[in-house]
Amino acid sequence: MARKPSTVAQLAKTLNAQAQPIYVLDDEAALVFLNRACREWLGRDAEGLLGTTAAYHSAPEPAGPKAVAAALCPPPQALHGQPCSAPVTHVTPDGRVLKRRAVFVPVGNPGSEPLLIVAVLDAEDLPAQAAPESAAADVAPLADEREAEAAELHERICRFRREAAGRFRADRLLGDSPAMRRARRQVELAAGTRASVLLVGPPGSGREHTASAVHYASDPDRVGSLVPLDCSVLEADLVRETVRALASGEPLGERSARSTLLLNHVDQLPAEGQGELAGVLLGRSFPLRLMATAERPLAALAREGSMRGDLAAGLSTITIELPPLAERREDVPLLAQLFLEEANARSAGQVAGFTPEALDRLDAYVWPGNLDELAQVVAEAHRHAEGPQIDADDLPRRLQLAARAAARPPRAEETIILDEFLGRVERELVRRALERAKGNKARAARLLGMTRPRLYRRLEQLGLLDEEGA
Amino acid sequence: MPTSANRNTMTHETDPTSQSVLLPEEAAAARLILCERTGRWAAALRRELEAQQRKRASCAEPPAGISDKTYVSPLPPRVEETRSLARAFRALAEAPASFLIVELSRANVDALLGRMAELARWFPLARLAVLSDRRLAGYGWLMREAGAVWHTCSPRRLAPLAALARRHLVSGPRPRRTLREQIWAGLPWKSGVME
Repeated sequence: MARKPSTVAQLAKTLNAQAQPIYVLDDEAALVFLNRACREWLGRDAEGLLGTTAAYHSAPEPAGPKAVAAALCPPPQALHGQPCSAPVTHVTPDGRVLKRRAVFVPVGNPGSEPLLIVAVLDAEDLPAQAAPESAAADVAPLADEREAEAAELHERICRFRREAAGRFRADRLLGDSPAMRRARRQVELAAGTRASVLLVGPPGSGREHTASAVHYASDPDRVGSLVPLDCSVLEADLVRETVRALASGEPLGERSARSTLLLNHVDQLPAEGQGELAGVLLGRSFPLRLMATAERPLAALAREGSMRGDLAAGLSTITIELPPLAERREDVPLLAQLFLEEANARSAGQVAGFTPEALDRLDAYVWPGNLDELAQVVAEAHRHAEGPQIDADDLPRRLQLAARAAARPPRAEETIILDEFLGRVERELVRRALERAKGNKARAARLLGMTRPRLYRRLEQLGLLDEEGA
Repeated sequence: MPTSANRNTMTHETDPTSQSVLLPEEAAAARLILCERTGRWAAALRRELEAQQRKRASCAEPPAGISDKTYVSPLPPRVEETRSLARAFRALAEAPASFLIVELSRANVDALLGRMAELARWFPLARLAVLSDRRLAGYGWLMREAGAVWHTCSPRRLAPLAALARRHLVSGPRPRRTLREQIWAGLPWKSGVME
């Protein structure tokens, strides 16, 4: 018995039989269907175009699928669910500008983002000679506008990278402690290779900054993208989605080979799907360099069983250890001055430096939040400072308390007097029950699972009867 | 290899108290701050947060891989709306551990990139995500590169963002409490028994 064609195949057959070019976009504006007439008009196979987003991309290749898809981008009204009509302009590889009138029909709930957008083009190109002035006025601005938008994005990306490269220069990893001198040497070593780099250190120790320094020092003339991925907060499927997208090479194009994927907090990577992730990241075809930050060496996590051994090894070809600030106290004055200058640059108030008492206090503190905490402490002190220099009294209270605590014997451990505490809990529960019962004792007693006379006795014992005015 | 036994410890949680030193003394609790021109994204985000909250409430047990601390959340996070970047960053200065969501437009690209460059230094506890019209989809990777944890162009793809925001708010640092305050905060009225 002959099999009946499916409804979808039937629909495709019907659309392919039409003389008018028709294409369909999904809710992400990705091309999901082009009929035969549309493919012929564009002079392209569907294969390279399906799945491509009809949106503007940075510096698309003129004849590439992105550029063709960008030409099919619907107007904003259609993207917001309103049917509309607009011209679609396509530039052929030989430079001819073809233009057709298109009707865009969003499919979905009215007033909300469409599930699909169906675009139906006229069967004939708009004759350029029929309305030479209007055609020139329509086509040229559209093409110019899109080129200008792509160029603007490209320029912004380049400018962003230039600025980032300046911000994250390796020589801005300040500090003269042996640990920092060693870290700087390792950064220089890592910058000369494409090997994976693991930055190990406590939170706030400058792991991301150091990773950026390695990336931007690697190829200062032709810097690629540094894409951070926060493994501590992204769900496993979002991590995979991002990694797969980068592996396809589509988002970054030819820049992929010069780019770096920075897996931040990789030690908090969800266990789920680590196998698949390792397969993609460590595969030969993954185009980006890998860097990662963690609190502990990944080998230790692999030994404990919370990270796959191959992933741990693959991410730690070079390991750069960043010490906690408490272990490089000699760097505190220099770093504090750097943060003070940054705070000066951000505000009208100018503070020259620190008094010796303030520096002593900074030196005595343990810095559990490391560089981030020092930056925050300096910013807070900068806000409070009234004189030309930051004084010890301008520093946050916890530094002052820490200094006092260091000078005194430790306080006895906090204790709780159980009877007194339970009495307070009972009073609070009774008070809330009465509030909820709007003062009705019988209802309050029911809420508390006791009889009315017993509630009265408890109110008397707790001294709440007078408060209630009963 | 990760085992099922350690799966529950391999959550996205970090120790919130270890980072509480980064909260200025006058800091307010972390918020969900949304900066957009209209209110369109806020409405969609609220719907998504409420839907996720209902889904969690209907689960008898926390799903595998989610710790109790992540799972228990009395209400969906409140969305604080602002209409300008300046206001959004003022709100962030009050609550520096907040989750900030910003709608990208052609007009605010440079201002947003400038603010994002400052975020890591001055608001290390904050996270930022970007929303945009599909026409600005090409900016998504630039925003990710600049430090956005996520970027989306579709109000129908807000589920990952809502989950991200909730996880950020749950796992963020809180002011340090005394033992007495910790017990008091855990008593029944906190879960609405006597509210």
